[in-house]
Amino acid sequence: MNFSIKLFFTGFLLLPLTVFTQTIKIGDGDSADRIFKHTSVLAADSLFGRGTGSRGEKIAEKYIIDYLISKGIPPVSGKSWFQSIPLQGYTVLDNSELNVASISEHKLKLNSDYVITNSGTETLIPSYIETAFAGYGITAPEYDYDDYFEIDVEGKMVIVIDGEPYSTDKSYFLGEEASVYSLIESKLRIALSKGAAGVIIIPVEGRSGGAVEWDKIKSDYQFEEIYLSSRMSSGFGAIINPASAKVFFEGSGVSVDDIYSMVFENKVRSFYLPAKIEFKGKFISREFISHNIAAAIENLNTEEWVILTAHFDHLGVGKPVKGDSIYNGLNDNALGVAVLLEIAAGLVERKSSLNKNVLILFLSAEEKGLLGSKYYTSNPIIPLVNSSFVLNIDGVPFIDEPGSFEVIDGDHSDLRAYFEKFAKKNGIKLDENEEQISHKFIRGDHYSFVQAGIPSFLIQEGRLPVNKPLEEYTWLKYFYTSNIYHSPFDDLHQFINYDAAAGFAKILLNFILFMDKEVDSPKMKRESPYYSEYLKLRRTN
Amino acid sequence: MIRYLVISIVTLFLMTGCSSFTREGGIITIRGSETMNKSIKMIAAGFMLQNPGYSVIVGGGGTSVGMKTLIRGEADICIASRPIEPGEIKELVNKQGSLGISTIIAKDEIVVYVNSSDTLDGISLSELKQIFTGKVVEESESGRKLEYKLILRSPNSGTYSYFRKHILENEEYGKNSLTVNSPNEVIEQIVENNNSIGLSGEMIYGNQSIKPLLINGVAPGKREINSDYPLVRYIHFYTLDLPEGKIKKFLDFVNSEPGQKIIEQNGFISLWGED
Repeated sequence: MNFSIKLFFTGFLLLPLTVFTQTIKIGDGDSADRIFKHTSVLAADSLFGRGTGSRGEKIAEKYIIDYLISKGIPPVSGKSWFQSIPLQGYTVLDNSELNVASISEHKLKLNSDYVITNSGTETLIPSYIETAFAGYGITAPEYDYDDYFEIDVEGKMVIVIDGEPYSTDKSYFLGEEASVYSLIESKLRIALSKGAAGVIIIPVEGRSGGAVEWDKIKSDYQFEEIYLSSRMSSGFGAIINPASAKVFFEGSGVSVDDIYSMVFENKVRSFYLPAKIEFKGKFISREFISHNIAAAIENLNTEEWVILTAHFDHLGVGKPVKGDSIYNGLNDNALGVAVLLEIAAGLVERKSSLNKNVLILFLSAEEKGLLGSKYYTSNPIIPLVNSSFVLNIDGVPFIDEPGSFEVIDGDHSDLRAYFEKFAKKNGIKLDENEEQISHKFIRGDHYSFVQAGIPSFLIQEGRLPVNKPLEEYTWLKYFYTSNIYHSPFDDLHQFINYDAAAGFAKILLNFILFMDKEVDSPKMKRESPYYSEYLKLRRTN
Repeated sequence: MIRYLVISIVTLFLMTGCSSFTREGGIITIRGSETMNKSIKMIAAGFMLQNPGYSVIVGGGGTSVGMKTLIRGEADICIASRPIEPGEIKELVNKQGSLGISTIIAKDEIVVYVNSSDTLDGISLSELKQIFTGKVVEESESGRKLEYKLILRSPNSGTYSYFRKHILENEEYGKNSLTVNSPNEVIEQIVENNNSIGLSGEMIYGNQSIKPLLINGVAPGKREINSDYPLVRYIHFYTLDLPEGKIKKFLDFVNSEPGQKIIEQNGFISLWGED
């Protein structure tokens, strides 16, 4: 071996060490550049929107792992990067038949008249069955409320309206916030528990006058339905276009407008319908494996782990909007992954001074119903009892540096108190949190962890900006939510303030370092419905 | 054939490591589908070999019987060759407080057999519906009238229910029929009756007295996960809760390479191939 070759190899061997000893400053301009680079790769059209089980998702996996390796961050206990998730996918085909027979026969068309919310062979209804209108489709003994009290729906299809009984009283269905009873899945499960074959939901206009956006609903349900290989028993589930819903009420003496009046006058009641229904669904199904990616910054002196999560999947390829069919998911959640990679790089540099272990978890199939996190909590890599808390990154500031932050912990744990303590020490302003048990909390991966009894939360930008006028900042946030979120336009063509994202990474990194010095672990609150899971973990240990 | 299968299975278990013997244990009771009975018994044998503390009791009776046993709380797992029915979900909620958890473990082709002396080679799905609902179908090329004695499994079987719901679209089976309990008896009857037709959840090789029919021009038995063969269904495990403890341990074994190998060797389609 000549000298130059030797030098080449020596240099090659030293390279990882050089990387290891370089100091990375999180939150500065270089940090913003790195986040920009990660995001540019993960949200590029060449990854086709990182759909679950797609080639684009595999490319994203490789990018994440390559970066972790380059920073000297290994998988847990040096084993595999991957946690394999067995999944089943269904794509509903246009030649599916949903037929309604009452005074006359109606052949409803997929997408223009209805969308399917639950797919699969369980959903087939090959011959006509009876139907009933069951109000909101809710049985809630704690609120002394039961839409099924006067009707027997065994073997029938249940037609229900979206939402739940309205009240401003927070102790009744959480007042104006949406409770778990509003979820489509809740309505379906309640109907199934009564022996019904399935549920069809009629969307309702908002009380403030907001019209039902059928195009938005259609867009949300255009993608492949994906389920874990183990899942709760299911049945037929659909949402009907309000303009087509009248076919269910033909011959009943009640119109769809009457139903809406019942909603607004708080006079919702249940009754049998003369209409019969059949569904001859046609599906393409597939079974496949997706992966969660798990990396670790380990400390052999303790069994306690802090878990940092970000989902790396998005919606994939869908129906084109203005000629664009790739749903890139830059903000949802390529940017979150980039921020987590940045935090991981910052933490590994401080490894020797860390008191706790850190699990860096990139989750798959979030967009398909939090499936990656649900699978993780059923098959944990780290024993759940040793998991101190979860910080989920899903929604990173990108418009302006935030002048305030929102702590979304669902009021299930005392994590907010810890973040408040940290914020006070560091001069960080927090929003008064008005949406503790809102849809925001139950729609992210942190919810899966809370359900498993682990304190979990999400930090997002608050209501106040640092640089932009408040009105402009508020409008831009609204514009993103209304027009960009879950559309093909959440891509690299939009303006992203990478300095704001880098500043956020710095804040979260500092919070993790702050928590690393805390002797006590965050606790679930007794009032949380998942407190029993928290206790169970400790009892079984 | 079976002897070689057992030898190869034992070899597989040895290869996958018998050193992981544990001191944990328990009894796992499984009831349900006759279609999967043989496979699950073989998987159970392998599982017990690798985990000596566990006893796995596998009983048949058909999917409906398995569901009833699960509803009564007398089984840990129901093997089902059809999805759970709404009425069964309601009973499960009333008796056990659970909607039931379905775990898919394999795919299965329903193969339609006639006697090998029959000139018929293939049939469409709509013709199949007509024959099994007792209507006379005229063969398009020969003009021959197809009138068969239907060899049916018991109404408790998942194959009976699945076929009735998905192919007959809930119409009744034709009256010219003979009902038997086990999949083997279906084949025996077809061998003995020239003018009979029946269903099996298994692709049977090496029996010269029966003939599998092409359905919509596609032959069964390719066992490809994305085959065009139209009579494909999932085999499920139904449990009360998300699998954990001993049930999860067994399920993990079913989904492991040796478990899925047995499933394949018994003529079913493995779901989880190369990662």
